[in-house]
Amino acid sequence: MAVADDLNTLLGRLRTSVPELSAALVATTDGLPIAHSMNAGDANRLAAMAATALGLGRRICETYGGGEFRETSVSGDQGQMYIYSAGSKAVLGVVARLGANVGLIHLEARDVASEVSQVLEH
Amino acid sequence: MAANLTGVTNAVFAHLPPAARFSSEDGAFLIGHASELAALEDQLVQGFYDILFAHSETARILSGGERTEREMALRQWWRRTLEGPFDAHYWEWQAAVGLIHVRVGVTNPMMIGMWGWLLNALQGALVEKLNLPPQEADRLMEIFHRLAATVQAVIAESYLQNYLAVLANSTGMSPDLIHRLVAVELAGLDLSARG
Repeated sequence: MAVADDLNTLLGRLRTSVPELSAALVATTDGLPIAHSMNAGDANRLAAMAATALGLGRRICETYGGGEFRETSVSGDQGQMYIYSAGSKAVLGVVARLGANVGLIHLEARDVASEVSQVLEH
Repeated sequence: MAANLTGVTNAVFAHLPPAARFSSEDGAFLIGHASELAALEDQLVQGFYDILFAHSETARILSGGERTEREMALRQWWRRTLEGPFDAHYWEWQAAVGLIHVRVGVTNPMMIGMWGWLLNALQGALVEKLNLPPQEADRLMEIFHRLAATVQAVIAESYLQNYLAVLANSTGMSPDLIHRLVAVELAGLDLSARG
């Protein structure tokens, strides 16, 4: 319960820091949602997609010699999703509408991904 | 990269109901008739490959090399099956066939269809060519059906597991994640109108 509380606190803080986010979630690398804060949508599906992007991103990094995977993004004409590695066990995904401050998203989300990793590794 | 063939084989045997799978008693009975059954090799091999070479989809897969080389696959299997033993090595060999099928493009419908042909060919040959007493021919056919079910299950499951293992390895998705993606996708599928 403490882990879930910690993760929900982190996601709440992230959404407060970046109000343009419409969703933020933490999933296991196997695609199970373990904490989420979403305006709408299916957390199960988004978690599975985030884990898929993480797995593929890691494999792409290995293939081109890019070292350890850190993050990737998917942009559409209505919005964008950023996916961050959160340690060996989890992935952080955030969804923002088009025109959101990408620099601010990265600044806050990278910190949160690091903290998620610490919460789950300990 | 490939699936663990021992694991695949063990899983198939755990899933197959014992009454439906090939048993050690079946193996002993089959080996006991090996000398008679060996006489069917040329007939089975010729009929089997006549069908494969007559169908464009299967002929395309067999296009490399001489027919006699291609025929060796079935000859070796038939000889090894009549010799026994039906040990872990035998079943893992069948599992390896599933992996080879993925690589060369042999589909499960091709494999299962040819098993059906083989069983029909055996049924006719046991009585007409070997002149076995009906009771013995019936028992052998029951055994061949259980062998067919077991080998088909191992090859088909190995095909699937190897396909998934390669997909998992190439995309970085763990098998658990792939299973989850399948579950999430199918949870939203309305099956009520599909009979």
